[in-house]
Amino acid sequence: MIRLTQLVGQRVLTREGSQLVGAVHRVLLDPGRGMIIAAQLQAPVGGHSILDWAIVESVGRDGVVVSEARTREPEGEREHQLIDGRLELFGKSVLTEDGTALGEIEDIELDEVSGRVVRLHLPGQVLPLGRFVAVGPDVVIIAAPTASSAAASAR
Amino acid sequence: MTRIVRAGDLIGMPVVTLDEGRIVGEVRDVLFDPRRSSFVGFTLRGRGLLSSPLLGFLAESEVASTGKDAVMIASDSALMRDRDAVKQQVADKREAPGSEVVTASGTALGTINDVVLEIGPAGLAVVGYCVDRGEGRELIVPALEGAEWDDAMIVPDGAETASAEGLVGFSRILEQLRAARGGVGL
Repeated sequence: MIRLTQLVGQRVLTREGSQLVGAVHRVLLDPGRGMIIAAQLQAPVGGHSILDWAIVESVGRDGVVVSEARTREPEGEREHQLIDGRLELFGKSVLTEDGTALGEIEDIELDEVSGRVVRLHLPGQVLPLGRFVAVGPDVVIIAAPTASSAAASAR
Repeated sequence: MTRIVRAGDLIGMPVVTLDEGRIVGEVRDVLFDPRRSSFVGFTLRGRGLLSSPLLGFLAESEVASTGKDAVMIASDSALMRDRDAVKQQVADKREAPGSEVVTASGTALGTINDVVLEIGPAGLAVVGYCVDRGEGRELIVPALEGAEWDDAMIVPDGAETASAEGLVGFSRILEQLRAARGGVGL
């Protein structure tokens, strides 16, 4: 398991030749699958800022290893929102789908192999993630926690 | 799970789309049909000082849920933005606050200063009226069947005794009234 705060800033290196591609700046989540699908790179080598997460082979303590040095320009509204910072996850308000505010995101725990979001760190609680409803420019919406997940979330 | 709120507490609540996680505006007015004690919808305004004072109308049927902190809608298309259509929706609705409440036998109870809503799985329902009795006193009168509304709101005699001074007491009154009716009505 890796936290988003640990992932941000990590170098992205190619497996063959250890070529530096850039550093992770922000990640783009697919709400439906609850996982990272792309990352915005900081100081990308070659100038393109979007890294498709599908080419990530491993996420280690000291770097993200990719199969090839392939980056591209942002495409579509969501990737442009990512670049503009509107999909920044830290500090974003989390609501349940029935309209209850849970607090602002302090950190996110990810499965480093699949890139799937496992838990949300919110003020006073670590919440196992059942399902994202939306990851938007204003709020993150999740399925209402069940009684068992709420009990498990108490710190 | 249901809860009782004052309509005034919903004013300013953000309205959020479930498909994009976007705040489209905030609640400006809570509209209802007093003759049927039914919730009709919300008007919305923009957020911030320089935003639009009237963004559109959100019909009751388009509200996915009204939570403690936000009103949730499926998508931006749930909001009626056409100005003429919005005006038409709002035109025949009336403001409850300011209306006088009088019993059928002619006793003035006071002036409505807010509406009490019950929020449940089926949506919002008007269940009572907050009546300002002057000198800081307030009474919550249940939205009883038989109430008539024209220049003032005429409530059946006895409405005063079936009233409470706060939302907690009013919830108990509501339960008692429903129990007496076998769970039907209100």
